[in-house]
Amino acid sequence: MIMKRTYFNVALIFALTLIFGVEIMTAQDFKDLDSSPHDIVYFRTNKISPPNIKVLYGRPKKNGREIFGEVIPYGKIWRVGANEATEVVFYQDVVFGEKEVKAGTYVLYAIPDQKEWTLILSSNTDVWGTQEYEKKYDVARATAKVSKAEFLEAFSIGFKEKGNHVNMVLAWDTTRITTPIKILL
Amino acid sequence: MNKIFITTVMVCALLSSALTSAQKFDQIDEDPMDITYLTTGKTPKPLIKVVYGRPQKKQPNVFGEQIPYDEIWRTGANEATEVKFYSDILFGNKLVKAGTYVLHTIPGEKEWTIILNSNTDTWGAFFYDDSKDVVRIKVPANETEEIDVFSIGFTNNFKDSYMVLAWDSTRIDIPLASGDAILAKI
Repeated sequence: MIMKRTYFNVALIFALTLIFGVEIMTAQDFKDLDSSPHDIVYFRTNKISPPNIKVLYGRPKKNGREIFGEVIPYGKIWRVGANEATEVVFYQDVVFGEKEVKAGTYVLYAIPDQKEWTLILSSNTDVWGTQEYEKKYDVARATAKVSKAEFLEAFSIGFKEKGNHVNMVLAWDTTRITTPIKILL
Repeated sequence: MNKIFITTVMVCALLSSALTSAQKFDQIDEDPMDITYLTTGKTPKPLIKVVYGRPQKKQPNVFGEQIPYDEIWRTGANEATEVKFYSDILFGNKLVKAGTYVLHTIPGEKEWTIILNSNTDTWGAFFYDDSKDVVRIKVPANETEEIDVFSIGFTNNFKDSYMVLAWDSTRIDIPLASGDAILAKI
């Protein structure tokens, strides 16, 4: 009886919302397109299998600037993209750095440096940039190798399978940052 | 003659191996992804997050031309549009559990069908499987001032929230209520 009444009330509220709610709405401002748009990259073992890793990140452009060491200073935490902090989803448990990390959603931060970067997975998700970074939410840290390759205008993240692990590669300008991730199946 | 042929083959093989060993990265999408949140001033964390592709208007009329009526639409571009609810929510008139879903729609002239489906991490609407539907509701199509890029937003006034889909001169207002708000109203 009580349940029935609840349903009735919910239905009534919904009906009232439909009748009156829409009328009182005012014009809405929507966000313009970002100049550093978001993108999604997946790692799958083959094209039709469910994903193992997903990264959602903003893609800033070089625009003739000196990136690493200038626009993105060495030794300081970086959001690894633009706008909202970069989000990584692991669909299985993985080994990141030396540490086992549970399947789930994390924020990826980096501390760039000349020879070796530090990559950080944080459990404090849905944050903007690095302002809300707090060390107490660190889940794992990994060191990543720096190498050189061909020029890329837009910041890019990609994956490459290598033996029993997958390399996550951060790429911008002529810099490549590579860190191995082991997927625990 | 043979020698030239073999040399050519070898050079080609070397070149192609050099090319394949370089890592390929995706170009920036023509219809970029974007993120929109519904937040309240009270909690630091969002109530809803939407990740969606934002195509541009390319024909005189988007709906009925660029996006056909009565066919399932990915409601964005590229990867299927993803909606994450951080707590249980009343979506239209249906209670939906906290979690991540794919948002598809079937546009119509007067009325749209809005679908939440649990088959996540898919491309477009090509993998749509109606057995994975969590919600199917109908929402009337409203007129709005013209907007060239497909947009999803939220309106959050003093008592009602809507998830709003807008493109060209069409807007769809999906009524929402969080668990707390439902309890408060009953």
